[in-house]
Amino acid sequence: MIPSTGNRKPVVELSGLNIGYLSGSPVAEQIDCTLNHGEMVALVGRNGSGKSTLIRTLAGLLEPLSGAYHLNSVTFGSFSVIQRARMISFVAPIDIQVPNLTLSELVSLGRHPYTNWLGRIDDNDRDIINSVLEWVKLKGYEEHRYYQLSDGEKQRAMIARALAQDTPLILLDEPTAFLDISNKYELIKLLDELKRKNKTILYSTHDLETAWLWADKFWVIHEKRLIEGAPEDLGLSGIYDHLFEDTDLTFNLDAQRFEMKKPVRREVFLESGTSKAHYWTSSAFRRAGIKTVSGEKSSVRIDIQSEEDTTLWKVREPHEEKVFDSIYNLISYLTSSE
Amino acid sequence: MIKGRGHSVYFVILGFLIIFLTVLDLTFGSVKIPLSDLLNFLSANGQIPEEHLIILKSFRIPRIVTALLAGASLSVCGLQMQTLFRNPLAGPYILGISSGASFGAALVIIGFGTTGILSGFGMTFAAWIGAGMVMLLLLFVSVRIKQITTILILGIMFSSGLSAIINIMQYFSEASELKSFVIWTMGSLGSVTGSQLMILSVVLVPGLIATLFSMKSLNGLMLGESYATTMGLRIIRARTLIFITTSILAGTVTAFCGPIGFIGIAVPHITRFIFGKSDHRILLPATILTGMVIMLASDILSQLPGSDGILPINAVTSLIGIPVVIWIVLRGRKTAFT
Repeated sequence: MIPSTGNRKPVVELSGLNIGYLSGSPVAEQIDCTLNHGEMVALVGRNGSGKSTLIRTLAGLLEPLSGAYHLNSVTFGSFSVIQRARMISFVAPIDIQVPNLTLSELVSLGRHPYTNWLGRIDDNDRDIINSVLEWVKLKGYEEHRYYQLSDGEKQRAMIARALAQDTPLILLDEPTAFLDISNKYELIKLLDELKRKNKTILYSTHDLETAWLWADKFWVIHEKRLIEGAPEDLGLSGIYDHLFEDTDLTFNLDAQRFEMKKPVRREVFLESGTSKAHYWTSSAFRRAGIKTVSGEKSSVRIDIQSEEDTTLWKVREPHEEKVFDSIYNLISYLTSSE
Repeated sequence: MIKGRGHSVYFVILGFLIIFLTVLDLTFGSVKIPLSDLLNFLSANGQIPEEHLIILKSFRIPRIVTALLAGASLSVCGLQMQTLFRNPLAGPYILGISSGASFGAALVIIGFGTTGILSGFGMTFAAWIGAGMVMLLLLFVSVRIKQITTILILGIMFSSGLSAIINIMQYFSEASELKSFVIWTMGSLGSVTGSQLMILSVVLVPGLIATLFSMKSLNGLMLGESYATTMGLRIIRARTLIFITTSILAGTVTAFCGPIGFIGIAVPHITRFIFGKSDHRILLPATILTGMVIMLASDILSQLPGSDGILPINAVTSLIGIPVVIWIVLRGRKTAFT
């Protein structure tokens, strides 16, 4: 039986695409993948794997070296610059520096592909600008200078500019790179809302944990090849185990994240438990490179005693017995007496 | 700082300042012409002393028209270069235009040993050809090289190369030739008369109007070339128009008035500070008017009101421009490029 596919309309179709710079060998080769309408796809891969190169190629800033790039089933190269600008908007990873620039000036630049030779903003343009400012929750900031905005607001402002361009496809190169965790989630939530407004979104990121929760699909670039699929499909295929093979990172299937392989400094026996204190103690052991093993294998046994709001850690060694009143003290004892 | 549509007030103020300074410049000088004579002159059928008529018609009016045109041209060139290269230190001469003009002038004065009044038009023409050659070279390079920084570096290198050749020519020149050339490099608004003024106006007025067609492109280019391309701007075409207008305006002013420094760099900063805008649809016309005001003020100061002496215009533009820019940079760092 032939496997079926979903029935979403493809927006971007790449086949046998080689990308890179004219001089030198391709950054990534033989890319075959599809970006469907109304999807949010996260492009992941290590530094230098070619994420930006791919996004810049899709945005029309770089020529593909060879292969086919279809946008809405038409060869991308056959569109004029203006036609492209009405179908694809782009958000770059680099902060812009323009003297005096206000938020409303920035967002109105997005109307560039639609305005006349003078760049006149008419009422229709103004309506669009107002509504996108509402979408990104920056209404009322119109006269604020760009440089006065916080990093999170700046990124939303740049997205507002892209939205004012009114394109079905939005490409974002590392939109969460400089954001703290709350702004990160805020931004991904915004992208998710845009997806519900029928936008198709491709964004590159190093932040797998957030992408896992929100992206419909992953495009993973690894060793010059692109592998696509739902995050879980890729987990099933084992690609995550290979992604950081040559480094100290290892994929933790339970936590669904990459973790540092730490040298084991010590082996102890921690009595099993389900308390909060037990959870945080285990977590501290992972951080400090202390491995918990079964009772027979270790001569060090640790018990946790919780009473009301005090917790004590009892360490029993063959010749000694000690009590600690904080995880910090426990860890510093265990790691200093190696 | 102004918000919303309040900028029209500033346009009106600039307009009044231009009229006021023009009247001041017409009446002041080594010979004081009373306001009544000026009014009689304007009313066409009024009687004014013969010598005053000659002074107005042959000296002051041509000089003021030259000042207005040169101030507007150099300032708008500076604005275009600062935005295109996204560099606050860029000015009309950054591409080597003035070096080209100086080379032409040096060739006539030093190379052919022509001095005195006879050399006037030949020198202007040679300077014009010199600037034109640089422009052609620049266009040749700019349609082939995409990176704007590369063009900037090539421009600076080329300009330095020409300066070196001029230095060699100066080293081997006669004292009288050297003095003529050095005086030329100090700039003069007063040497443009009669048919030369006609040529100057016929070139500069359409050139200034042509810059209006770059306002939208300049807005697009503010965010950098990647954004400009994805917003539907044809980069090479936009850049070519900017280079052509800059070369023609700056080249012609330099050919007729010598290399007048500082105006081109300072005026765009002053304008940005006054208007608090980044939108070139406001900034560009505002820069033209501010350039006229500053150049007229410099001209009045160079006449050393109340004395018979005259200072070289180049010294005056620098001396009044430098404190203004230092003040702006220190006071309102954020309004300029930082």
